[in-house]
Amino acid sequence: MSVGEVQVIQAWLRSEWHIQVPPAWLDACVNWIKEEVDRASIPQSQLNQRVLEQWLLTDLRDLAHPVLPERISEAQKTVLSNRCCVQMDSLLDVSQPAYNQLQRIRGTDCSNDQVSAVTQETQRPWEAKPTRMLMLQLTDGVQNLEGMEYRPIPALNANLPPGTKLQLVGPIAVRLGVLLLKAENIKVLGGEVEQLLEIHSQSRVLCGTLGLPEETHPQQEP
Amino acid sequence: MNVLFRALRKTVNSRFYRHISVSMIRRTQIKKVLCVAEKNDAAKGIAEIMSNGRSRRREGCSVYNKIYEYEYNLFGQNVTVNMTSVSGHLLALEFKAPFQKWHSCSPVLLFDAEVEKYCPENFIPIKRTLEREVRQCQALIVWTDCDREGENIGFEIIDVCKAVKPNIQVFRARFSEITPNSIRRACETLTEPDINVSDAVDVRQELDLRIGASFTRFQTLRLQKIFPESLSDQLISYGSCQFPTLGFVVERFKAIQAFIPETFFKIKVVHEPNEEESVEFNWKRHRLFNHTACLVLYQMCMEEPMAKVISVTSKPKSKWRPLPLDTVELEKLASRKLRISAKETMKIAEKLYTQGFISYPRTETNMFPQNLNLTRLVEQQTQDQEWGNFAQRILESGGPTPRNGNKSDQAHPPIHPTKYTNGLQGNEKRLYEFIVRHFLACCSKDAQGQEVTVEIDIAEERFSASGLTIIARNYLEVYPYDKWYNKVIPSYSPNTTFQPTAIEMVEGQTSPPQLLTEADLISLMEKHGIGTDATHAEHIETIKSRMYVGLTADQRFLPGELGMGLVEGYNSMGYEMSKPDLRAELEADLKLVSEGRKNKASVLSYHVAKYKAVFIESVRKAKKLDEALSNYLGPAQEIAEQEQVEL
Ligand SMILES: [Mg+2]
Repeated sequence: MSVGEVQVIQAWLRSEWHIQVPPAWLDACVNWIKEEVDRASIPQSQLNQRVLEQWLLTDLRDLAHPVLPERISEAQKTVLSNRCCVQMDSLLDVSQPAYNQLQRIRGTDCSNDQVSAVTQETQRPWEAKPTRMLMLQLTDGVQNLEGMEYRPIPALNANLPPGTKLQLVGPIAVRLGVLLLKAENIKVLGGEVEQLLEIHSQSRVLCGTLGLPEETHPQQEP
Repeated sequence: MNVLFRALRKTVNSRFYRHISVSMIRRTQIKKVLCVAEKNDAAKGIAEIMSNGRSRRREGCSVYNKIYEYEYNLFGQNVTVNMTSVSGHLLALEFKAPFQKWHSCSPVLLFDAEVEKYCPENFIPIKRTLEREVRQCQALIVWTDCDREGENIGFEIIDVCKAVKPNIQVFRARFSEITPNSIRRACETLTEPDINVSDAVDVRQELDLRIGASFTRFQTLRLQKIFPESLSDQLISYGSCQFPTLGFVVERFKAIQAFIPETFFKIKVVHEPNEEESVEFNWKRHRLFNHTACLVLYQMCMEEPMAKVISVTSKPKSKWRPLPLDTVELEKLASRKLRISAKETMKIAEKLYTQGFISYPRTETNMFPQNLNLTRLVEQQTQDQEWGNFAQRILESGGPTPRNGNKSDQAHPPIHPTKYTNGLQGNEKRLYEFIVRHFLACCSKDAQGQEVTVEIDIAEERFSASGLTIIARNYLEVYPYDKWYNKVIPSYSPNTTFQPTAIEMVEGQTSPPQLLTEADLISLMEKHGIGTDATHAEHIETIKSRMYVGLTADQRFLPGELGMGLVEGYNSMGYEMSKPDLRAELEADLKLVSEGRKNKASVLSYHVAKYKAVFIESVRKAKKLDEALSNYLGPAQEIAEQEQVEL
């Protein structure tokens, strides 16, 4: 492996993707990829791609390579102006009760609960269907912070796997340590973190919010 | 029947019946006709109309069922009519003697044991009247209520009469109200009784008997032994409608128990432009279940609190007048608005019907038939002190324009007043008034208003407020059961700004669904096809009288310990006996039998087999029932293996 090769990859990740990685990880990654393919030379473009794929599947905590401004999660009011990439550990729609969401996931929501003899007053459309607001638990591997779906972001949905990598595109307003995200502030790069899939699954997140032990079915609670 | 020809004619309700050939009948020399209504009141009312109040009253063998005698022109000739009545079903279905005693056989045998119809002791005098009277008559006209049960009662009458006079000619009178027009039309368009409809009732009766008796004996005998302290004297009945009905009550109770309340936050904007006016704007985001997220947005609003008016829109808004009344709506509305239970409502409605004040109260139809003279019906009400003027105004402003639904049972019109009266008292008066007001409201016009919606922006968060100005109350004037209020808000112009009086972040909590009201329960039964509109009220009454459920102070259903335990026990067996599906399938098949689209015997054997399989499985897993109940009734008593087998 040449030093030049690694630098090329590092530059490519930074310029194309705004991804920053520690050199030691990149060295190890490239070595591993080469062993895997069992070939001396592999075209640069392919190598770039392989490294990117590995990064997408890595838990950024393992890289311990901070990219967010220091103590941004404690900022009362500031702006994140540059671009950087972070990992989304979990997300939760805070515009509707977690209980309803959990019942829907478990298939225990019962349409009979809604049956009432009283014809409902016509609700305003936005009351009947509040705008979704996802709260995102984000990390750059060192610092955790939250992001809120301040304006609708079609690229996000509750099925994105834990560990999905996102590119944050500044300027982004930050208040009380929360990023106020709009559609133009986010690019979903993809990926996941296998170890997080289980512990940050939607049902775990919802149970956590409700203070329920994960395995217990709420119907069987006393 | 050889006296019939097959010309089909569309009746009032677009149901097709065969009609009777007048010329053919003349040859059979009908001089005397026996007419039998479902109740004495109905017989009396019909006789009064047919005889113009000149009938002669005679005693029958039963003191409650009189005989009214008069002349009437039928089949194109003057005949003597003997009008009498039964008191509902004349016959009952029971197992044959060897199976009648509770300990006579293993309950599983009740799925195949022989059954027979018999006349209970207290109905024998009525039967004797029919047998005596029919001997002198050449024709029998059945005047029972025109619904499934009525059709079946009709065949009971026919069977009794034919047993003593096999060649009697039989006709069916079809009518929806006991009024001169309706009775006269029924006489002119006599038809054949409908065996399909009656068959459906036979199937239902037999299944109810077999399922009810087997499960009731099984669970009563078993549970009395296992919980002798709490249940030794208790009949623990089972019915295939009762249990799903109970199931709904338990399901709702459990949903409330399992519910986890959550705190939410919202931003509230209040504007009081002057001393008199005040308006609250609602947040477009409605509410957020995250404190920080809401606080962030609240802080932004507080930093730039100036509100900008984005838009002011004004559009007409109407409140719809009610649909014509069907049975389920009558039960629900009476329960909610008049606080009269469904059972009581139907009892009163039945009485009002037999007295000729309202049309037949068991109907699924919520659209008026074309040929019903609504104007005449509205006219009748103009003499009333309270709603007479309103009725008059309907006539003066273009006549009745009913709002119509889209359901029709092809047999009866929606429930409506057929005669004016101001001589009623108590709940009869209240229910009659409700039916009249509902009818007039339906024939009137929707209430009209103008709604103004103001949308504002504070720090890029949107809020809105609406005001309502009622322009014409229309139907609301006669229908106090609906409320609609003016809501005055200050006037705003687009692109102006104002300083809100207050911007607050407030919190609240989600709340569980409420326990079911009787009206909710009827809605659920209707949604899942449990029972028919005619029987909802009875099933609800049964689970109350068995103490499976109780009522809270605000008249909502709360499951009792026995009810909870039974539902949980059967649920844990895996068979969804307290779920509506089993019964709903049966109910659907009954409908097909009544329409002649499925065969009586095959439906019967199919459902007997199905419930028998469920029964056998339930007996096998009976321990689950004990377990579930012991959570409520204390430890289960051990019973010997041998006894287990027997049960
Ligand atoms: Mg009846």
